[in-house]
Order: sequence, then structure tokens, then C-alpha cells
Amino acid sequence: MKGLVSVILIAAAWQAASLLGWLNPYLLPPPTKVLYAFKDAAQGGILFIYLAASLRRVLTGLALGFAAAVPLGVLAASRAGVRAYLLPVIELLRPVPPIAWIPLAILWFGIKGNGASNFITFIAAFFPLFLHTFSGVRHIEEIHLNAARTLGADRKMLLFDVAIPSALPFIVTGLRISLGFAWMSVIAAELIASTSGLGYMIEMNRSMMNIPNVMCGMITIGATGYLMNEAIVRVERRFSWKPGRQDK
Amino acid sequence: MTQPIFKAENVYKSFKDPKSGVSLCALGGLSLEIRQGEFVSVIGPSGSGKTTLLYLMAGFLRPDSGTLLYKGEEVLGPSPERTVIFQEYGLFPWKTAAGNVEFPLKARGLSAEARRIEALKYISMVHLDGFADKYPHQLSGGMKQRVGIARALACGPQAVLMDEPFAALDNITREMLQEEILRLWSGLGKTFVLITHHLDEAIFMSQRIIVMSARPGIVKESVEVRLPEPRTAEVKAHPAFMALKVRLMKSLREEVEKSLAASKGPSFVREMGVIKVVEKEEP
Repeated sequence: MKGLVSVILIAAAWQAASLLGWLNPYLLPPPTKVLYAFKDAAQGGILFIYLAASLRRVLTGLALGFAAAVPLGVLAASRAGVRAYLLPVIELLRPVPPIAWIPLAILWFGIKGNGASNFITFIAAFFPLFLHTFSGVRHIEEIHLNAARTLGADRKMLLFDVAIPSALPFIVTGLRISLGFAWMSVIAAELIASTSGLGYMIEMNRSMMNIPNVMCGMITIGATGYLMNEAIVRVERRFSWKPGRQDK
Repeated sequence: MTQPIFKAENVYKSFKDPKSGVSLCALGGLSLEIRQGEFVSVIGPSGSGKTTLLYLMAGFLRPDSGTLLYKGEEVLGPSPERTVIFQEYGLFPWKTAAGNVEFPLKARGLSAEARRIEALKYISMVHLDGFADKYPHQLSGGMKQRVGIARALACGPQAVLMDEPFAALDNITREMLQEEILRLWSGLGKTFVLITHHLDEAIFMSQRIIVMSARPGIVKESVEVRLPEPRTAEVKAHPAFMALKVRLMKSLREEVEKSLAASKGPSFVREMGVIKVVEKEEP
């Protein structure tokens, strides 16, 4: 609630500055103008079409990233051999920002369609999920492993009843960070390598000097990211077996 | 004569400090036998390798040299036949009480339905009816250890190895659980091995007490506890109880003094990766 107060105060100050003529209306239009742009974009339906396109790419990349990162993370954490081969490769690729993959993605998948953007969100989602899964499984307490073994657990139970549930709070946190990364990257990808989505909407309106619509796209990106994060924080609490956090 | 359930012969085990590289000898040629169906306690000064011994019996560790046999066969790894009750309970926090007790049943391949029924049986054996669906963090220390006991029993073990299982509990809870364990032991006829540093607990619960020497640990003596069974709280006022306590206290004290003297004597000093024995200077 206090957050909402700050948002309103900032908007009010912004509006006031515009009315006093302190701001160039072409470079930074007042909130009222942006609201009108919102109304038009929403009524025309284009805002929702672009939002859905961006969301679909994020979720696709996230799903692909999850499917690749979690098994690899578990494998790297539980097998020293795999770890020795895999970790250096991961650590070499990780510093390359997802955006730096865009030129390659365009070459491989083209501008049209979702391929390039899906690939970028996959890259963005993969690393946080991999690292969190990896350290989650590495952080299993010795006593839990010993207990499982003295209770007769085989490899399968060690994996599904001990390692993965023990690492689950880490994995969900990884998912939250990956989602944020993927969301930021999809916009960047769409600025350059797409013909739909919120990133494309911003870029297209910029080229037409239609700044209220640029800002409308930016605000939608921020608000959607905020809502997704809130949702996953709830999931995080649900899947955390750690007492302190669960009781909050 | 039946063969002992556990037989250790000249077992050595040392640990290397990963930072300094100094290796510390925890067990220095330990030999012992534990009979089937016996309730044995192991006491000794801290650092005498009690837990190391238990972990060797459980199969978490392997001896550096010497043999450790379970029913005539070398212990190669952990097994639900020789299950462990841990000091810190070792419950899986992501599973409910029933889920924890079901774990060994699942490992044995029981169906979900059969597991639940069986688990509730063990939960009721440790008087936790109504708490089956609580998570460990919702339970008190005593209740957690009851879950730990139920879970160990669900393994259908031949031997139950207990590593100071009551150390984190208050006195009343501790005494109640001691009596409960004794009741389960006499009902089940299985072998129970208890690591403790609590003399009263060792005397009250055991048929035999193994006293370990100061580091490196070996068996200093093995004392039969001749007190009436089943044990009740009155046993603690028995003259034989007191006499035994005094005797064991002396025995332990000797060991503690030895280890203190040892720490004053020559000590290991690491220098440029080479371990040298250096005499400490007396002030």
C-alpha cells in the first residue's frame, strides 16, 4: 500500500512538472497523455496481443530452460565426473549476456516468428535455474543423506525423496530469478529481432516519435514483471519447507 | 553359542583435518562384541570415538584397518537392518511425521496405502496419534525424536544404533523417552546400542556398559549392569545403581585426566607441510 502511495506521488510530481512547462512534452509527455495512449492501445486490443506474444515467449523459454537446467543441475551436483566437465563450460557461457546472443539468434531463427525470442529467453532462464538447482542439491545436509541411506533408500529415492525436495526451495528461487531475467531479455530481443511483442511495440512507436505509446509499453512491462514476481513469491512460500519462511 | 551380532577386531580409524592436514586417530585398535538382543551403552570422554564407532557399525564409515562384522559379515555400507537414531533427529523437514515414517516402508517397496497404515501403527506405538500429518517444525523436540524412533522401527531393524538420541531434550522428556525405548526394546527383542555421555542414562537403560578410553579410543572395560528388569524409575535409587555410578565415574575421570595430560604433553605441530612432534615448553 505504501508502494502505491509512492507511485501516485511520482505521477503527481511528473504531471505538475509537465503543467509548469519544465518538461519537453515530446521527450517526456505527461501521465495524462500516457493514460490516453493506454486507453487507445487497450481499446484497439493491440496492447493485449503484444503482451500475450511477449508472455508466451517468456513462458516458452522458461519451460525449456527449466527442462534443461534442472536435470543438468541435479546431475552436476550429484556426480563429480559430470561436474568436472560441465561446470567450466557453464561458467564460460554464463557471463555472456542473453542480449549478446541476439545476432546469432537472428541468424539461426530469423526475425519473423518466435524462434529468436524463445531462444533468448531460454538462454536467460537457463543459468539462474541451473545454478540454483546445483547449489540446492549440493547443500543437502549430511544428516539427511545418512538418514536416507540407513533407512534403505536406493538411488531413485535419494533423488526424488531427498535431493529434489531438499533443493526445492532453491529451485523455486531460481525460477523467480530466471523469470525476471527472461522477461527483461524478451523485451530486448523483441526490440531487435521480432515483429510483435511489447519490445517491438516500443521500438515501432519510437521510430514514429509516438512517445506516449513507448511509455505505455514500458509501464506494461514493469507492471507485468511486478505481478509475475508477486505470483512466484507466493509459490516460493508454498514450496518452502523451511519453517521460518513458511509461517510468515 | 550364537554368534555376536557385532564383532569388531582391532579397528583403527583416523580422520584428516582437511585444512591443516594433521590426522587424528579416533579409534586405535578397538575390539568388542555385542550379543544379539542385548541393550548396550557406550560411554567415554568426549573425543573418544564413540560416534565414530557407531558410524562404523551403521556403515557410514569404513575402518582404516581391522574388521567390523555384522552377523559374521563385513559391514560395507548402511543398511536398514542396522538403522540409526540421530541426536539431531535427522527428520526430513519436507515430509510430515507420517511421511518420514513411511520413508523406510517406501524403500521396502510397500504400496502407498500399505505404507500409510503401517506408518500410523508405528506412530501410535510412540504415542503420537493425531500428529501424523504435522511437519517436523510443528513438533517439539521430544515429539521429533519420537518420530525418529518410529521411523527407525519402521525399518524392521535387527539392531537400532542410537547416537546420543536424548541429548537435545529436557530432563522430563528424556526420562519418558528412555522408558519408552526400554519398553520397545523388551517388546521387540532386537539389539539396541546407545551412545551417551550420561552415566545415569547408561546404567538405567543397559544390560552392559562399554567404557571407552581417551583418544585414540579402545574399549577400556565392559561392565555388566546387574539391576532388576524391567527397569523402572525406582531402579535409580537401588544401592547397586549408586555403586556402579561411582565406579564408572572414577573410570571415566581417569580417562578425562589422561586426555588432559596428553594435551599438555608432546603436541603435533605442522611446519611447512611436515608434521613434527614438539615438546611443549612449561612456563
